[in-house]
Amino acid sequence: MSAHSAHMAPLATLQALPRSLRILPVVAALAVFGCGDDEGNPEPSGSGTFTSGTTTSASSGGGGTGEGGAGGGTGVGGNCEGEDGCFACEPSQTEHFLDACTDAECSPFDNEARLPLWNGGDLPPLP
Amino acid sequence: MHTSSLLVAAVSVVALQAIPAVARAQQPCEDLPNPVYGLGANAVKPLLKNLGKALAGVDDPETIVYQGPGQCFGINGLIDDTAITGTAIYFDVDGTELSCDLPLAGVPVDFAAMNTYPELCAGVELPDDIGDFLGPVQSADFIVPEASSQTSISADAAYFVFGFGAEGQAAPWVDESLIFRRDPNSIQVLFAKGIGVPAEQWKGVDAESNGNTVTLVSTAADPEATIGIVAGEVAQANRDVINTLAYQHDGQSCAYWPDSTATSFDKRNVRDGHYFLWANVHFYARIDESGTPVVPGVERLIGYFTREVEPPGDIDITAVEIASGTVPDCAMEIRRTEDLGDIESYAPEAPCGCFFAAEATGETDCEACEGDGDCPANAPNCRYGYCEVN
Repeated sequence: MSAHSAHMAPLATLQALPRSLRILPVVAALAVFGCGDDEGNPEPSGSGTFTSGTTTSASSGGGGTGEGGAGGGTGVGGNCEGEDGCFACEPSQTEHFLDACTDAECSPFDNEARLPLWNGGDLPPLP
Repeated sequence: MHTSSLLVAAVSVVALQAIPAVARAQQPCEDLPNPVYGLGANAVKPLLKNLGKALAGVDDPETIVYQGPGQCFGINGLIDDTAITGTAIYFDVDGTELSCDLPLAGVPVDFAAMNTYPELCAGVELPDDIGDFLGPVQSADFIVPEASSQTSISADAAYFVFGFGAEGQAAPWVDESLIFRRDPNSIQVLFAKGIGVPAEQWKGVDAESNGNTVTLVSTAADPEATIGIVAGEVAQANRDVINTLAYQHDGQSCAYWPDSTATSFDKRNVRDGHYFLWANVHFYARIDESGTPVVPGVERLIGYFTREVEPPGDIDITAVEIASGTVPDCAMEIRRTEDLGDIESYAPEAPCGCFFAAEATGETDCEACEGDGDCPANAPNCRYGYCEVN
């Protein structure tokens, strides 16, 4: 599981906070929206990259370029959660765009496994 | 209050350090055809190179004469009417970077080029008589040597690497002599905002320029432990020796490259919002009451990028931007109104996604056209030679 599993994290709010305090609202968002389990974190392929599901693609919201697909749609079960936990509706907020379903490759970085000073809570203040 | 005296005094010194080690170039800059003098980010050199090459080849050539000590030196130099001295670079019709001698008494800065809005530079407030003109979008990339096995980094990991250095224990990037940063007058300010480490507090070695960062990263003795930061333009131009890391911002479940894969050139994740670290190139110039740059050569130069002035000859500024590793406005599906601020959907008046794909990747699924009549009902608009949906 990647430590970053907060698909509904209010990013605009996060940006206004010192980095060391950003985890709290993410955790709160997880509690409210219930998106914080393994369901949202696709497992890597052998090559270390994978796509986040292609039930729908990130829509241009009208940009309509003719490349890479477009169109919103709904996710599994009629909500906006795609099969890998990606955002499967028309994105309208920053966190939607960041985690919109796409067939682009990605490579998860597991904070919990790789960062000894990362504990899922506040980041330590800079030295 | 917009700058410190130390900063201004440092402009000429740093600019000279950024120029190849030739005392005098022997080509007076003022003798070049229609010179305009720019100062600022060295991240935009690929863009200025491609446009400079094109402008050198038209019937009435224009010359972009440029010093690239770092983006904040550019805006401060413009605001303070700093005279730039020493040598500067320009590009000939073959795209070769050459050096010319500025007048001994110096020459005023006609325009500044940056990777961000000016507010990210310490103490800068844009006065009313300087205009801010948006150029194409470019990504900000974490890079590693081509020989590194690393493929991604998170915002939190970058916080530990660049904010703590060795103490951050973010393996394999724990050797501060192999962590290459820039200074607070550079594109580092954009990364700083993204990862939450103030630009003044970064650990590691100052690589001094985008180009030198590539050199230091690509030749490091321990590739696995090496990391740096550069503008996307520069990263793309050096893919043979460095790799861009996929980046995972707060709230993302996976890390994405600027492109849809590590090796493609489609900038899809910048264009649709999956890649967080991007910003517009900005051009700044002194303006009159109507908002028009007061220096005619700058009005033309900036007008090419804003599409308010038709470039001379058969120069296609959209193709120039794409070839430089940037994304023209017409290929963006999202936009922001502040650096790394909220993302919103964007529908350009005349989308060029098909043309972008064709130019950037060499292939597109879109139908070629010469007019709307050539296009199918589901993509009825012939734009830039291809049938677009909108």
